[in-house]
Amino acid sequence: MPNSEERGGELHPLAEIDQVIHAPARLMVVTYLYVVESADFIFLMRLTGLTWGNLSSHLSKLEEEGYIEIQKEFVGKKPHTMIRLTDKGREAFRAYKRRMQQVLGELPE
Amino acid sequence: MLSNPSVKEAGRKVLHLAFQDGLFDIFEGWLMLFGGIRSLTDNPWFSLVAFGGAFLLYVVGKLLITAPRLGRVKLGPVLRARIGVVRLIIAIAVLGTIFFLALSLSGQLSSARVAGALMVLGTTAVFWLIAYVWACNRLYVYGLLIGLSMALHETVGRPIGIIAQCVAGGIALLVGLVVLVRFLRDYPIPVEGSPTEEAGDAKL
Repeated sequence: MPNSEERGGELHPLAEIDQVIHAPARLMVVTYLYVVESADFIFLMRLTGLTWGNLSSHLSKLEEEGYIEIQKEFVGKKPHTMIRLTDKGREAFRAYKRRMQQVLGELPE
Repeated sequence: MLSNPSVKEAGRKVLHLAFQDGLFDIFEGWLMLFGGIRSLTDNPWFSLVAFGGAFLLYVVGKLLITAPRLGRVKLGPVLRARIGVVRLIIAIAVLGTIFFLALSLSGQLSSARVAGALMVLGTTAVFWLIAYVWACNRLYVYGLLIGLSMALHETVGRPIGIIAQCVAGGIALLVGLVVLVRFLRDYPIPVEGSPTEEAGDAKL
């Protein structure tokens, strides 16, 4: 089977979709973080409907990629985890949107 | 079941969460109800206690009931701009009310009914604009209720106007209490590592 170079170096746009953002739960998390400056763990949990453990695991993945920043702070004696999209995360989300619009635009009727 | 929102829907959902606790409904209902009752008394302390009590209830409720259940958020520039629009609308409405009241009291307006009609329309319009910006359908209803009660007050006068205002306030208060009870049931204070799983959650 010819590889991408033999076919003229063109990869199907689907292959270039950011798989980290593409997972449904992480896409939801990134979308909500995109419209806010920052949100704490509980707020994200309420918005997305994910369980504590599941959200925690997805946030770890996003943090590994450098898409989010997690800051633990104390309000009084209570710990608060504030989460924000990094510049890299915002750009990745915009790039993901453009890629998906391109892919969907090329789908047959 | 998870559904991925568009960026616009995500913004609306973030703003709409503010109304999930019913506290704004209780605040509005309290103000309308006591606004109606206030017409029956000349005691200046009554207004202070009524408004102060409503405001205190709202703030304390947000701190002690809502924040531990919904968490905290700092809005982004687009959503902050939407709230800025709401504040501007309220400021214009307040200034407009003062202006028309001044005109009416000074006799510049040919008819007190005109001033009254303008207040009714203005109040309803403000509520509807806020409802649109803040994506809260209940505010459309409250705008209508307040407008109707004010219109009755202006046209028919006491005691029907007062009753209408108290009924409108009572409805908003009742709705707020129902929403608050549902909120407390649907949003318990989360505990880290809570075992409850959403259907299909594990696959994600």
